[in-house]
Amino acid sequence: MNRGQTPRAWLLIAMLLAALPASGKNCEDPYCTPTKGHHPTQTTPKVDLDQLITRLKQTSAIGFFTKIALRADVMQLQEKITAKRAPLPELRHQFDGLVLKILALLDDDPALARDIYRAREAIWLSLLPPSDKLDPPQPPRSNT
Amino acid sequence: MKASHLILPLVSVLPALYPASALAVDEAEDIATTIKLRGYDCPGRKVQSLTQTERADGGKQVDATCSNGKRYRITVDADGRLRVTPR
Repeated sequence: MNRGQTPRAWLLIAMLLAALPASGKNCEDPYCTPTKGHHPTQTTPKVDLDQLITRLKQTSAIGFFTKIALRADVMQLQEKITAKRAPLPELRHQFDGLVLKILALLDDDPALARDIYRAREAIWLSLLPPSDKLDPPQPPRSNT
Repeated sequence: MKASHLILPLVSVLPALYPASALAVDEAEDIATTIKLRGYDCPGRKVQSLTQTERADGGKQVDATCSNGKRYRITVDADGRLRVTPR
């Protein structure tokens, strides 16, 4: 083997290793697509929302004014949910948009972005009033 | 084997093993993001200039100019309510 090619081979292996988590079962990238047969409700981890809030408050990836603006957006959404000012799917759509905004802002804190993305269902449930939590929308049933 | 032959792959693997810690945003970037979050036009990552003043009620006020020349006033009152106003 040519001596000059050895570092390139190592570099290739290193790049492949770096790319592995995104294509494997351990999906570390917040935007990676889970493997076939995966159902989000089956593996929803237990989430410490208080810890996520603390990390969001402390992260230096988002500035002071941006944090205040985001907090206002969350509070506005929570108010809409509590007052049932719009149908739940529409509010969920707004929530998803807000989560996307936060994830985009957390570009420099990928660990927190990943954890928020994974916890999005738990966060959504925490915003719902108790009556909606007890009676979540059921998927359509087939007649066969 | 040369030391560089070992270091190069290690250096390229490290970022994958240890995700970059959060990088602090500066104030100009923070203000530009806030203006954009409120739906106003402010191209670029940062505002061109900003002046911050403390308000008598304990809140903060920032006058910022974006790269397209548009000026905005960002105020945070004592209750933590944020408002972006074009000027």
